[in-house]
Amino acid sequence: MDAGHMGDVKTKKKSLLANKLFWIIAGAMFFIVIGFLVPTPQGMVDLVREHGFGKQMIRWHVADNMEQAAWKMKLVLGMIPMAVIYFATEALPIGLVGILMPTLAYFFHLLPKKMIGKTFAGDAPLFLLGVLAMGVTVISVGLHKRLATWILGWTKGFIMPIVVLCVSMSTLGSFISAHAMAAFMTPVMAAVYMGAVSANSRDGTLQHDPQLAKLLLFSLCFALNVGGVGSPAAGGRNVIMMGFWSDYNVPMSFGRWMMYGLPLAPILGLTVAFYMLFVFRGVKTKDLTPGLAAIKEETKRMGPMSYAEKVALGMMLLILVLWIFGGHDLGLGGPALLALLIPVLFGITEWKKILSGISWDAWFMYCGALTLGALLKESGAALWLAQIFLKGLNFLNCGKGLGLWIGMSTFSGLMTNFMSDAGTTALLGPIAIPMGLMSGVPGEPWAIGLATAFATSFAHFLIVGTPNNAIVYGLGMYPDTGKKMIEPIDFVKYGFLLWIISLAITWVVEFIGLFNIIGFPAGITATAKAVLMSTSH
Amino acid sequence: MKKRILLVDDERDFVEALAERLRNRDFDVTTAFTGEEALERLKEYNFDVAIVDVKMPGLDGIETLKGIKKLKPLTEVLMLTGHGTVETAIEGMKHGAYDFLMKPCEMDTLLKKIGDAYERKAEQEERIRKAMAEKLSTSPLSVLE
Repeated sequence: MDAGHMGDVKTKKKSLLANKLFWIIAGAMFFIVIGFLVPTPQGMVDLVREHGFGKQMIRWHVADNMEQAAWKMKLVLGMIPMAVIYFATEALPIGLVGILMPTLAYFFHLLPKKMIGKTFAGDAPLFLLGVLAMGVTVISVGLHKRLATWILGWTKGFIMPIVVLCVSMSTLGSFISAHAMAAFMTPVMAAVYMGAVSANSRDGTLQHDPQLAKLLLFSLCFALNVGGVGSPAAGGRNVIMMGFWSDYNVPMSFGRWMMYGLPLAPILGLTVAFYMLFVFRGVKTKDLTPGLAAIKEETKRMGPMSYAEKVALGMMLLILVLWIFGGHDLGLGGPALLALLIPVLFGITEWKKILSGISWDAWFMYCGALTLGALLKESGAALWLAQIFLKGLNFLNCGKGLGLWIGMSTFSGLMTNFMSDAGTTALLGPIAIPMGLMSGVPGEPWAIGLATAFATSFAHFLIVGTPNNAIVYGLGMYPDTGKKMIEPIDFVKYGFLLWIISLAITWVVEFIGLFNIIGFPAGITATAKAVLMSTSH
Repeated sequence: MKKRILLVDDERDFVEALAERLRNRDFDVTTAFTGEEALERLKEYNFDVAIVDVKMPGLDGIETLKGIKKLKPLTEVLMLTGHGTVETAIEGMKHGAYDFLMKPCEMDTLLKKIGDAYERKAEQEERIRKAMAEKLSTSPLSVLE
């Protein structure tokens, strides 16, 4: 496999987007203007007084009176545009944006210190830690490569490899780091492409088929994106949402999420396959079999399954089983911690390697998101925003049930194309939950939470929407010329319609189908409402 | 995937015969008879290994090597040398050539050296890919840089 022109020297252009300092100042200015310069609206004071947030803040000694409580709520609201700017422009590393949340909470005394610390040490942060550690081991022993080559190695022809690629990547992407899979599979796809077009070329001159290159890379990329709905282990954003539900005393189990999400993942994968085959129906090379030899070569090169791979696979399956059947007491964090212990005890990964491999940037960001969620919930800011959004949605006649889920998933799906999926969930989740509860529909706040989280897997139409897009674009090069196989504008060209289709499939299969077939536990709405009310009364 | 070889030597008969033998072993071979021509080819096409004669009219082997490394730093270069030009080949290795070969070269030796050079390039590319993927995972915006 080849890396094309990756070693070539490039000249860098400094755009406004790349001017980090400008955006750091812009974000801070938003916080300062909203927090300190704009007078506190009377509506906010009324809200903290009428709904009991002020009384609670006074009881916690974080505010002396209603006016100060409302001001603190306004400070929390000021953090939102600042976080949006930092997430969207990457002016600060995402982990630092995460750290900013508890930092501001401590220094402006927005929550009792015990509550701030809890967001970094509960079941959700430990679960995330384990998921990240499991990713380190799976990738370091190469298990993701083994699984991918096993699944694709037997395919032949044209339609079958694309269908198998999309369905398998969306399903694997539900459990294994999609970013690592994208990084491994992109050059494999380039090799499949080269093998296929070489066999199709006559008179010794290679006849390129750019449509085939795009078909292969976009199928891979979009299938990995949609896999994010399948399980909580697919990404931190799902865990963030689970953390928010826990805050309302209605935690969702791993298995329960899979009941809603796992059937949707392969359906979306299949949709990606047929959409891609339709869009690129004009490809000249209609047989991928010669190219698939590259995957067989890769399998041969790997040799038989190693001890390390077997242990990693066993560990993954054990943790999955415990997540699904382990029961309430084990939680999600308990089994996840095995991902730190097993690799070291069985000697397949060094402790230092796990420590250095864990994306602490992501972990700090996720924990910071949980702090932001607690801040929005406890200050009344989430309720204030939820009331405004709900008023707007009621005006559009989609203030509850299906209409609300469609509205929320569309907004979340749109937002995730412009900023990180975890950031989107972190900002929308705390607002979505009270919106769902106020709508009074049974099944809330799970239904609206799932609608918000699922849509963050549809960052198809901007190259910077998700690391998967950036990786496939960055590493997707013609091996012989080193030129890019896809253009940034191609994401808009082929991804926008798929974004709409993905949302529509979710609305039909999930909101109309699975939500009704699986249903929701009877008591969750009342329990979560009681938490909302205990704060507000 | 076929390994892509660029063969650069002003001795046409030698180049054509060697290219044919390499093609028979499933290599994708492109030939150039001057250093200038080699660099032109390199601008359009990506090669895994370039086999460059040390002594050529116009751009000599060392200058061609420098040009290759400037255009495509990852392309590995094997210097082809006669008895009188070993010193120049060693000089080439100081400038980034992977190894050198004495003319006339044994096919097995040539294949071994091409294989080793290719492996080194593949490993380096893998490291770059990993670093790029890591960077893009934490900062998708960096793809626009």
